[in-house]
Amino acid sequence: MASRLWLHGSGAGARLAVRLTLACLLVVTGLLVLSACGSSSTSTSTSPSAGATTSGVKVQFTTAPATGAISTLTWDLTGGEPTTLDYAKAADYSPDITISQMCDYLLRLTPDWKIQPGLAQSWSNPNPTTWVYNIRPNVKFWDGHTLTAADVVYSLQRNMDPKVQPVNGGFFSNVKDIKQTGPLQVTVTFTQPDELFNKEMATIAGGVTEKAYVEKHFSTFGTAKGGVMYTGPYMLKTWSPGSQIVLQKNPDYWDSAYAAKANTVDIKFIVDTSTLTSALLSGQLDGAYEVPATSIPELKSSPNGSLYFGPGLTVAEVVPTGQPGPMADPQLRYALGLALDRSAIVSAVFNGAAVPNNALTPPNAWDPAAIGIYKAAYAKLPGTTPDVTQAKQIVSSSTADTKKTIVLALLAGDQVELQFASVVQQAASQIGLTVKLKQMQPLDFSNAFFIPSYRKGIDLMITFGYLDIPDPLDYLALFYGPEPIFNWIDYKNPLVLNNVAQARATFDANKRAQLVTEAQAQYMKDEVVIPVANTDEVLFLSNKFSGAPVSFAYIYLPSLAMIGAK
Amino acid sequence: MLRFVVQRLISLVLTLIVASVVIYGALYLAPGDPATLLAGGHVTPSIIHQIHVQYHLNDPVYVRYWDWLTGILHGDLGQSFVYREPVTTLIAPRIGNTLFLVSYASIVILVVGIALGITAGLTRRISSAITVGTGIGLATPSFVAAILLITVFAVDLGWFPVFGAGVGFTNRLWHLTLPAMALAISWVAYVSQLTRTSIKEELVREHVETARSRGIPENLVVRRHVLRNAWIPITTVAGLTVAGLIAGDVVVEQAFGIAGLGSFLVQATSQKDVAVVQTIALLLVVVFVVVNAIVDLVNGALDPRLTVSGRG
Repeated sequence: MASRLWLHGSGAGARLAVRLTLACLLVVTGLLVLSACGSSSTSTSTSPSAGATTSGVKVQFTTAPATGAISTLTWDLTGGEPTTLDYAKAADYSPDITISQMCDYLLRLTPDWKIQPGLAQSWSNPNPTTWVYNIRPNVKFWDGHTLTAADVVYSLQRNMDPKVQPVNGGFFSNVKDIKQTGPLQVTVTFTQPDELFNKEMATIAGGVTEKAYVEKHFSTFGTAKGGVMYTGPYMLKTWSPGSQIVLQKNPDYWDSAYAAKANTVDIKFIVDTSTLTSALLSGQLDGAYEVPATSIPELKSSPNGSLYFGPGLTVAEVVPTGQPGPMADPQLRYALGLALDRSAIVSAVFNGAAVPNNALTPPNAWDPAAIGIYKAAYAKLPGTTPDVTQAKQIVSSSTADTKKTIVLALLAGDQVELQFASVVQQAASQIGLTVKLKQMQPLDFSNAFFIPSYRKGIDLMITFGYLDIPDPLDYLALFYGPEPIFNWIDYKNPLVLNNVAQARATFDANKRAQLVTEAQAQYMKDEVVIPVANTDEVLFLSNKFSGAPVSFAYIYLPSLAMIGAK
Repeated sequence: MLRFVVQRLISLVLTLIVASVVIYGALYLAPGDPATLLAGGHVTPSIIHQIHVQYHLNDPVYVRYWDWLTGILHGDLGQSFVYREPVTTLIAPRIGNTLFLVSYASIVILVVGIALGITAGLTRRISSAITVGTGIGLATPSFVAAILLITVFAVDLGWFPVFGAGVGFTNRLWHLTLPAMALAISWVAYVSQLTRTSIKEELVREHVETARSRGIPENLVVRRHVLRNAWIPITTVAGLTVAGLIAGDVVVEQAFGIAGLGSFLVQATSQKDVAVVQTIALLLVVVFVVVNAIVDLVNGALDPRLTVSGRG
């Protein structure tokens, strides 16, 4: 049975139709204009706070402390639903943020990355290869059991157990033994001195759980089915996969300074930028960290909430994969980096919420105890001012095959990455190189990070990585440490490898800085990556609330517990 | 009637088997290794290997398909790689959301679409206005409609929430109104145009002219002689609409952050979460076949010439 669809009208009908069409178009246009309304004023004041480098926006470490309790906080994880709530398997924004609300670490960070007592109330370093932690007494897990040194030993050892498939094993690579040496004392001994370990104990690597609980739920710990058992200010009330995670205030939390202000937290998983922005504007969401840069102009003009920018430890880089082609040549990589206008990228792609970056690890990650050395060394690196002429010259006088197409891989569906990659493509064409963009689905893209065969046919990848703490060795461990998963080009310069290994064993901040900056001078000369920007942390918070930390340290703080009424 | 049901059941089972083979094969051929997902983060080649062995990811595709098929026959729909939970527990809450949304949208589409179509079919001047109005709806993709609706009614006016499916009947109604509208906008045009066409065709039929010339009042002519016959293409389209909605609601679920089958299917496909994709896809096949069977039954009741044992 054929069904015919046709539009017709007699003369009068046709005129009416035309008039109606125009009227409807006007209405639709009006609606579109209405929806596009909202001035996007860009603030370009630059007032960096202590230690933070100049960004295109005003940067702060924290918001004003909250004064009162609230009933419910509705939060969003812009990275989507966490794949796990097991601290030993968490290496991404969503799981890290969520776990930090529930799991106490051995030590605790402040918003400006100083180290305070956590579950360990004191600690000492009696000799270079020994750290001793004195565990706080009378701390209770949510199930009422008391935290013991045995729980701490078990929790730390999980990071070294292959059956657990831990993600932070790299920080434990020099650990010889973890033993209970007293009723509330844990001693960690090392095969060689390790200056990074103690700092990492203030991050998720220092997570502590209840041994008996994990042993009972071994294969399901950290999933919606098996749940988790921690000591933190929020307890896991429900996890509805695909829908939300609900946290409930822990009324017996040991640390009154971080006791939860909100009675419950509803954590949503809205990833779609448009939906997220609308939800923040309408007030259905009270806030979110990691707000995408593309939403900044619209959110700036929200009457219900405010954007806050904090010092960040996330780096946006273009990383070579080591495949044969123009990008296997360090000189050509350097030329491409030289052609990039980093300041323009910061304002156009990141809407000012970033700082141009010129090294593998950014200025915000400089060791606070040796800033002078890092600053001087950074100044000596080839500058961030673009020089297209010189770049063109390098390309034209190169002996490599510059006509071969360079494939640049990025995450499909990510507006920021697409804009970023497009700028790189444009810069390349300016200097005589041809870049083709390859948008990869999330699974393939993340596989390409970890599995070499997935990088076949790809020359460059857009990467957004983050450091846990201001210590370049945290990131360098992933490139040149004992388990280097990001050394895709198989870079083996002996000076770099030796310096990185030695620096890891050096407690003296200045000596360590000398070693790191010497290695940096070498590997940046070899352009192991094309660094572009260090993004600020972007937080959106309802104007009803305050107390949230704004620096990237938020990710290892019980940040949501700190949010309350203004 | 019994023959009809048995025939349809057999065809359903055959369709399901073929569909399951095609879907399984397609997923297998699609690039992507779920091992990194299963590991949950940083992996080394040795961990990848461990996972491949643990989840039988290196077994030949027919072995893995057979394992899956035998599992289904025992009522085990499999486990999600991503969530490490049985597929049934993951799908259960989502079915409710999608069902509510699709039913809500269907009611709006059918009621409004058919009403507009009948009006357009029986009148002249209003007909053009309806054609143009619904034409604009037809040209609007659901995602654009979603963004427009959210911006105007959720953000600017604050009458409805931006995202989520809600809990409980009235709360769900409130949450799913904008999504249902976004879904309905394109389909209303389709249904109303088809209804209008069908009615206009019937209006010029000989038996209608005959009825008029016999002096039967116009409204009786319309009800008994026009509408009754015009229903058949309308019910067919209605069936197609409902089935099409189930597939089309993916976009709307994504835009409105609704935890439903559509968004879950897309997510699971991109993550190569095989058990989830199979289950949802086969569920859609079942719904489609059942809806078509209902349409055939209804058409048979409306027009005895289209009895269920014959072909229309």
